[in-house]
Amino acid sequence: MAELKKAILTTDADGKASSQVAIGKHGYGVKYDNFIQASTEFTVAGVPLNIPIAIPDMIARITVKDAGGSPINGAAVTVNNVLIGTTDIQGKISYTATKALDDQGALLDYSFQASFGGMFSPESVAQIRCPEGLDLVLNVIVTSLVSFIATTKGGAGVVGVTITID
Amino acid sequence: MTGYFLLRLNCESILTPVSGQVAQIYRVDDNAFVMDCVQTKDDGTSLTPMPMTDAFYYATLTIDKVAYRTETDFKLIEGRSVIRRIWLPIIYKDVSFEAKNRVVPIQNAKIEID
Repeated sequence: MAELKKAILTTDADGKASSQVAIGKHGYGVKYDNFIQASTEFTVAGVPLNIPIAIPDMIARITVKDAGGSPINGAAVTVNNVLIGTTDIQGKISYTATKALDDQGALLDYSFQASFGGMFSPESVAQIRCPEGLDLVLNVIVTSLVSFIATTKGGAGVVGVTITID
Repeated sequence: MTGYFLLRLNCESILTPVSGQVAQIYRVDDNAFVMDCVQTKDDGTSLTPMPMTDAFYYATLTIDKVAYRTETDFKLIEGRSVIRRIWLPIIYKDVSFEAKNRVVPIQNAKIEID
């Protein structure tokens, strides 16, 4: 192997990093969040070299369920308050994140929420890791309006009746 | 009949073998190109089979339009490997990496080169 000029580079906002490397055969490895590409060889000859690095997709796999645990078809799902679509018949929808880390290299928080029939799930905050992504269940508490009317046999309304609901 | 040319590539200042390079072999009398050498291995050597003739040869590795030449010319000898060396300065070239997924460039990917 040629003269070693060991270097650790960090890609910029354009995904690029560069260095001066001595001619000869070298190895390089890549790390992004939990994604690790083992050492791969490249050879520097008489011309500059451009090496593409493929980073895996970061996918959040979201399932929306009701209070009974049944999937909800047609639930609207937002990520960071932006609607990404509605769930399928299995209550599922997926979201592909563009990054796992923020500009400083810290894990990025994503906010998830689902709604159906005017009801909402609690907001859920989680990270979408690379390469494993995220599996998330959002529970929408679906409620219906129930009215009680207490009357006498004659049909007159009764005031002050206590009703207990389990 | 075939002879063998064994090339060694080294960086002259640090005596380090230079691998992954392809030198060219020429005839001395008319500077005619003969063939490419086999790509050098991690120890900087390549063993290139050549047809036996009475001609003298030399090899060069050209980088940035500068041709680095074997220390001396050579002539193939039947049944033996003819060994010559090319000394190179340490030459650096720009190597750039571009990280992206299917959608966007990826910032903060760490690349370790050795």
